[in-house]
Amino acid sequence: MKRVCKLDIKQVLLFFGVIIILFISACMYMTGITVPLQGTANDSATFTMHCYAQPALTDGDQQATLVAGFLAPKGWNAAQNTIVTYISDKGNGIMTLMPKGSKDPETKLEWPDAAKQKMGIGGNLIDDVEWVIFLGDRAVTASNQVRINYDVSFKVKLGPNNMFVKLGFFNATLRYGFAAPFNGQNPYYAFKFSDCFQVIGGDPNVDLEDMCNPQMSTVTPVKSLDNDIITLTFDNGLESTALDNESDIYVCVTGYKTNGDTLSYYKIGPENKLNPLGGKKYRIDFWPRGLLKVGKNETLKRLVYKYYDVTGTKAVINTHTLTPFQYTFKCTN
Amino acid sequence: MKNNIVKKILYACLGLYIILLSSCQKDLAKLVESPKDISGSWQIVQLIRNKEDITPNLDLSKFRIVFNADKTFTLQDQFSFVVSDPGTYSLDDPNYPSLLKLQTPNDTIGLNFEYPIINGKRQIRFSISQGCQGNNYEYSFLKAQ
Repeated sequence: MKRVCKLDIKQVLLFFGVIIILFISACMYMTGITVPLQGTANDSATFTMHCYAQPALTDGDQQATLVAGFLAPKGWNAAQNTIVTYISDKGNGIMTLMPKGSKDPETKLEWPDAAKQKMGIGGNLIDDVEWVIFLGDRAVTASNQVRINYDVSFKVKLGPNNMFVKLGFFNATLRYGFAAPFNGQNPYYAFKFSDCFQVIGGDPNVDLEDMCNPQMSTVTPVKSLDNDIITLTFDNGLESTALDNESDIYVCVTGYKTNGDTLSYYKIGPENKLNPLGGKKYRIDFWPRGLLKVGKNETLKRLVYKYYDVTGTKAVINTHTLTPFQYTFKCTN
Repeated sequence: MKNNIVKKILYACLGLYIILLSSCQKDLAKLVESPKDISGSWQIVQLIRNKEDITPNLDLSKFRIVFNADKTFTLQDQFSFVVSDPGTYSLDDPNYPSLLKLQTPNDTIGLNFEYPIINGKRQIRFSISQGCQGNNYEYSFLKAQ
């Protein structure tokens, strides 16, 4: 009986030994990304990531299928508006959208969720971006220590709105996904985020969306309608303003209805007083239809607002545009 | 002799097991949820927007949804919700409801419905998107005192 047990343990050890020997280290690297400084709204722009793979295979060649990801503003609808191509030592080709429901083998999450979990959204200060994942059109043969160079290009039609955003890129293989580095140093995936990319020439009547720079005032959710509950945050410490020494801050709001008429809330009282969050930051949550008493068959198109002190005499507006802050109600773009 | 005692104990255990099993089956057969009566005035006790609890940042004390015994409902005060007019309501299953239908002159809305007991008291929970579809709100209502 004892002998059988000993034999079993040996067999188990031998089995795991074989598994370890057969293990592959894919070693995916990204040497750089090419991202222009700016692009024009509704035009195309091309972004390229420069990569190579250095497979470490100890049991012969292996087939590998490339996975590439692109972090883009949701308003670009990059899943529908992006053409992805690659050129490589193993030939050129195209990449198509990762089938819905396909999961990263490491996290067991769908690829976009896995990408967000593993890499986040870079330096973007507003979570209005999404990872869009693409799959290579064929598997290529990877051989031990034979470097494969490849560039992946994303040609995307930019959205209609002006914005600042940091774009993200990653490459991995379908087989290993976001696996932890082999031996702690050989990565199975590689990623980079760009500096701030600017979209210009967009609709001047729509708010500029700046995800790169801290904002004095923000609205959450980024996309909402007048029947949502929105949160305004005010950072009174970002730069010097007329409210520098004030601790009681109020917001006064004008809503523009779809027919052009306006509704205003300009009283100073508990309903429009901001709550302190510490660090000279404040927030207020409200239901726009309720605050502005919008009629049943009326709809608000946008809000403009200023922050006031308790006397209603000192106000803060957008110091960049020198106009009141504004927010447009919308669910897309 | 020893074997006989062991056998008797085994038979006794088997008999007891059969009795217990049959009594369990009778109890299980009796376990039918009672019909759910949601009539009453309900107020919001928690509101979560896109997984963020925004309850402390809002005045939720005035809004009520009143379910009447005659299957009509009314709203007290106005607040961000999927309907703004009074109407009628119905549950998809009186014993095991999972859907609450609100019908107004202009709308018919089906809400995923939960009716858990929290701290000994029933709550009504809805998950809805009354603005952009990308924004999710989880409402928890407690019967108003």
